Amino acid sequence: MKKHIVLLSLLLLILTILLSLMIGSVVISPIKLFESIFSSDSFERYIFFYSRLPRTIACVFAGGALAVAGAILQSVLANNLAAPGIIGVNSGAGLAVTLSCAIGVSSGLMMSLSAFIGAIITSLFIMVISARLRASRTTVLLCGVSMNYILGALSDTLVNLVPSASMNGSDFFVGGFSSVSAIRLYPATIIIFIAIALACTLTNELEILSLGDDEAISLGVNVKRLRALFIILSSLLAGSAVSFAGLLGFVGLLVPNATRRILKRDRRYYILLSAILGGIIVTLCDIIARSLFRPYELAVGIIMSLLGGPVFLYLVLKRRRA
Amino acid sequence: MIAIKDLYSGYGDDDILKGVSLNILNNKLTVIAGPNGCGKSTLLKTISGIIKKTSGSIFIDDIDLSNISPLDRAKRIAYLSQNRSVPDIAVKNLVLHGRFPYLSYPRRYRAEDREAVDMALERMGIEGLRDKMVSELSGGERQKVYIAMALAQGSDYLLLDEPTTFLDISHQFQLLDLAKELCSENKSVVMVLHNLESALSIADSFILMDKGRLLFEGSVDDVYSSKLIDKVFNVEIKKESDHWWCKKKL
Repeated sequence: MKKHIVLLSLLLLILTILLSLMIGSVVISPIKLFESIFSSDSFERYIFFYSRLPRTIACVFAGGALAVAGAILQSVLANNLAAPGIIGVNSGAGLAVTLSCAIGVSSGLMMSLSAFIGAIITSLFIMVISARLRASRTTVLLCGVSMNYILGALSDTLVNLVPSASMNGSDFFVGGFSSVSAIRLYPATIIIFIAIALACTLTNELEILSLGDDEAISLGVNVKRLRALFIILSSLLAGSAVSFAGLLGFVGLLVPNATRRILKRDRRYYILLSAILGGIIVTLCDIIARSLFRPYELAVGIIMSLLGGPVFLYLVLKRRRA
Repeated sequence: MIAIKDLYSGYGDDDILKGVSLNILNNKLTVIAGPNGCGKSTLLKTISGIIKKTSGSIFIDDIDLSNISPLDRAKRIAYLSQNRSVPDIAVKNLVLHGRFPYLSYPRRYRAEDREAVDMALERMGIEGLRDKMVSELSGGERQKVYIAMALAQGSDYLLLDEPTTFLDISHQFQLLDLAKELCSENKSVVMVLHNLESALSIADSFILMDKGRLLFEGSVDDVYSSKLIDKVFNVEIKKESDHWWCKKKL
C-alpha cells in the first residue's frame, strides 16, 4: 500500500516536471519539447537547455532537500514545528552565502560549502540550546525565530555595504529560481542526491532517536554520533538548497507534516516520500509563480509563504488545542 | 550474573553512586528499593550504558561491559526507563525497534523480528493496540507497549525502572507475575519498586540502597530480620501468613 503511494507520487513528480518544462513565458507543447531536445539550433532548444531544464532541476532538488532537512530536524528535535526555514538554519546558510559573495568567492562548490558551514553553525547552536538548557519545544522555536531575525539583519547589512553580495537580488531573500545558474546548481544537486540517498537508509535510526536519548542508548545506538550525522545531513541539504534557491521558506515545515499524515502509521518511506513531495510542491509553486502574471514572474518564495503561513498557523493552533 | 565492583557513577562531576558492589543473580527476580535520590535509577542507567561510570567495574557473565560494543550490550541488557517521551509512532513500530540491536546497516527488519514483536504484544495482551499510535494510548497502555519493546529485545537481563507506574492494581499484579514467569524462562529481571509490600512479596533477591551506597543485598527474609528497611524508610514492616504489611512507624 505504502509502495503504491510512493509510486503514485513519483508519477506525479514526473508529470509536474513535464509541466514545468512546458509552461513559462512561452508555452512549449510536449511535441515541440521533444523535438527541441534533438534539434541542433532552435528557439525552443535554447529555452529548454538554458532556462527550463536548470530551473526545473533546481525546483525538484531544492524542494526535496529542504523537505528532507525538515523531516530530519523534526525527528531529531522531536518537534513537528521545527524546519530549516523556521529555526534559522536557512538564514545561517544565507548569511554565509552572502558573505562569500561579498568577499568575491562565487564558485558553485564554494557556495555550497559556505552555505553548509552557515547551516551547521546555526543547527549546532539550536541543538546546544535544546540539549544543554533542556529548553521546551516552544523555547527552541523562539530561539530559532530570533536567529532568523539576527542572521537576516546581518545579511541585509552586508548587502547594503556590498551591493554585489546579493547575486540574485531580492529573489535570494524570498527564495526563487528566476536566475538560477548552472555553476551554482550542479555541484549542489550532487550533494543533495547523496545526502537524501543516505538519509533514506537511516529511517529507523531517525525514528529511534525521536524516542529519547535513554531509549536510543539502551537499544545500542550511539546517540551523539548519530545526532551529529543527522545534523551534518540536514545542514548539507538545507545549505545546498539555499546556495542556489535562496531562503525558500515553509517547504521544510509543510512537507514532512503532510508526509506523516499521508503515511499514517507506517513510516518506512518517510524520507523518500518527503523528498518526492518536496520536489512536487516547489515545482508546482514555481509553475504558479511564473504563470500567474505572465510574462512577469513572482518569486516562488512568495507563493510558498502564502501556502505555508496558514499551515504553520494551523499546526500551532492544533498543538495548543492538544 | 552481573557483577558490580566498587562502582562510582553520576551526572557531571557529582557521583551519585559511591562505591557500590553487588551481584545480580541469573534467573532471579531482583528488586532494588531505597528512598528517592538514593541512586537506584543511576545504578540501572550505568549498567545499561546510559550514564558512563566514573570508576569501578561491571562484568556481565564474566565479560567486562567496557569491552563490548553498545549493540552487544543491548543484546544482553534491555532497559525500561522511568520517564519516557510520547513518540509520534505506531505501537508495532515502537516494539519493532526493540529488535534494532540485531540488525546491521542498512537496518531492515526481518520476518523473525516481526515474529518477536507478535510474541511480545501477545505476551503483554496488547495485540489490539498494534496499529494504534503511541500518542493515542493511556499511560498504562503506553507502559505495556514499552515493556513489550523490552521483551522483543530478547535480552537475558531486563532492567525495569519503576515498571508499575501508571498501571492500575490488577495490571500491577499481572506485571509482577510476568516478571516471575520470565525468571523461570532463564531471564534475569531487575526492578526498581517503590511499593515495599509488592517488592518483599515478589523478590528472590533484595537490594536496599541509601545515599548512593549499598545497605543490603540478600534474601527477603534476611532483609526483614535486619530491620534495615524499617530504619531507612521510617516504617514498620510485618509479615503475617505470607503477607507483607507496611505501615508508618508510630
